[in-house]
Amino acid sequence: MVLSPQVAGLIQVLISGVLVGCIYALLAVGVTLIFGLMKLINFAHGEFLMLGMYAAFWLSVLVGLDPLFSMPLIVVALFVAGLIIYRLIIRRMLGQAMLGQMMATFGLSIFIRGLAHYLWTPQVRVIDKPIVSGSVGILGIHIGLPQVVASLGALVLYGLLHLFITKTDTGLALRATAQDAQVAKLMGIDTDWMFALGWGLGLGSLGVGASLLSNYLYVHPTVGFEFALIAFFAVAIGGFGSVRGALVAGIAMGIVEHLAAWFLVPALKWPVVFLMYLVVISLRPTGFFGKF
Amino acid sequence: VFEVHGGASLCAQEEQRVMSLPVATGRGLGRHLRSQRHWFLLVGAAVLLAYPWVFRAPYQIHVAMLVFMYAGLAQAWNILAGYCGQISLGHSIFFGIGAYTSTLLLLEFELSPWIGMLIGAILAVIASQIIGFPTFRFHGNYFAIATVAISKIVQQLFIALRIGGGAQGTSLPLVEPSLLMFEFGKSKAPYYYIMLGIAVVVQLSVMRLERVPLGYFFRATKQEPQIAESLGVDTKYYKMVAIALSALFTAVFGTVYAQYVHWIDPFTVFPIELSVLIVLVAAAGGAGTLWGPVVGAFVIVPLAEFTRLTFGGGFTTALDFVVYGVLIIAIAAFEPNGLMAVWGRFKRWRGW
Repeated sequence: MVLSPQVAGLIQVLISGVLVGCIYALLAVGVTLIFGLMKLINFAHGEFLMLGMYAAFWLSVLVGLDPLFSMPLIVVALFVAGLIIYRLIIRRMLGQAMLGQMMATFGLSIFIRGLAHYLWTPQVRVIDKPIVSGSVGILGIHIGLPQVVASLGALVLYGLLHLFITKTDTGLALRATAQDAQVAKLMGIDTDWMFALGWGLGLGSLGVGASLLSNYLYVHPTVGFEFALIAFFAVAIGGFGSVRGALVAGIAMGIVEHLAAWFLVPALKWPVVFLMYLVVISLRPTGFFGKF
Repeated sequence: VFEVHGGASLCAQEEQRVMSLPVATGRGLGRHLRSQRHWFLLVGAAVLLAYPWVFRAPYQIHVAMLVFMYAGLAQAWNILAGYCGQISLGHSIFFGIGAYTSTLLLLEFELSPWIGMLIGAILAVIASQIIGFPTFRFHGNYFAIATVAISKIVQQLFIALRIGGGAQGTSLPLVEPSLLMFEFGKSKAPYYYIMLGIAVVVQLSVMRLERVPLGYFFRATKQEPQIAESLGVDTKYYKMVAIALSALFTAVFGTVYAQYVHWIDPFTVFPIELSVLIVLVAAAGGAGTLWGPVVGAFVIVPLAEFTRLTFGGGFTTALDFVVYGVLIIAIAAFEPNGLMAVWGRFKRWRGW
């Protein structure tokens, strides 16, 4: 069977859109977890992704560990980084004005990006011959294997997070804290630990994305910036604080982005995605699943 | 001793309240403070006017100009965010509109940038109304992210539609130096005074705004939107007025910037980094206060330049950003309401 070029093109576009959308969702889940818990946007989110990608790169170059196997290490490292950042900086910012919180996380992002610049220079780096590479072609449709693996990783992470949040006692405590931290505290939940855990999970989830992305993307100090922007929009479309919202919105953004690039010109794909965001929040100010 | 101090601080509070009324009645301590303030302003004005004659190096004048520009930009942002409560992360839109309008009019029609500045400001006000109308339904983070989206759309459109050279940007023609054409060749002092003058106009406007009813409505809109609505204040109308004023001043700086650097492209006049820096300057100084944005600019801009000089900038070493980032975090962690709050503490401690 041979597909006509038009049909093949459309299927190609849709598949690529879903694949990249899963990545967006994977990067957005940390933003939405942290926001859901403490009503705070982590503007340094992309910088932690960048740190994770550098970790994957250096582990591959210096130790010879493939990103696929260094993933647990990176997840644990970013989880611990989340706990530390919470203890050192974020805890002071709880209950403060939104601008103070913004200033803290903006400062953090400037600091981390500067540090990466200083330590590793702006030079673009790429992992040499990762295990997952190449692409498969079926019926004239080409799909990159690293992209498929990254999307599967995203879905697995979502599955695990869902199980953790809905089936375990700690997950229940997390949800209670997100709903009303003060009442949760009265019920004997250690909300301080829940916030710290939120930061650990939020940044730890980036570890999965970082190692899977480093399979096929260049690593440099500003790599996280654009991804973080996309993650913020995915969270805004899905609803701040909603985990499944981030998944649905991330995939929707990926599809719209690829359709726009296909039907219009590639240069207009981002204006169309941002326009979609404006349309969605005009119709539903809190996004798909958000609550005020 | 404590009673005297307590009494004095009560008296000072009373005086402050009296002085913040539209018609201040000067008496006793209040008059004394204000006469001191006059001296302070006179000395400040003399220093600022004499600066380019004392510090002649281009770099020294350049840094001072950046301070004035960010003081003015942060103050313009402060009108909308600090006083009216809508935190915008998209103010680079207005800056870019100002820069592009005057530049394109100059290139196409050889129109004087002064007129271009006026047209740019008008266009920015129109744009602000188009942006404000749908987005003022949102508050807090929702509004902030929406403004990021719009500024990204505008930036990408300028690139995609190849406006003014698209991504490559455009350089401004070097015309004969004249005040009329906003061109002063190699001498930096005229740009310095223009930047200073506009920043002072913005500051005086906000000083006036604090004392007229409009300013009271702005603050009511920010602090108690529901109560204000229930008292018949059309909060959306006041937000629209605030963003119009804010956009107007921001666009004017865009034109001055383009005339000064002779080069614009979408990445230098429309970037999110510019919007973020404006927010950082205002927030570090103290958003919603009269002098916060000015203090922020006088601290943050020289700080950034100082760390660049001390720790090396450019592409090879970026230690300056490390130090700069840590200082921003420190301000946020120790005084989330900005440096003006430190001054407030000091005043309380002294019992003023």
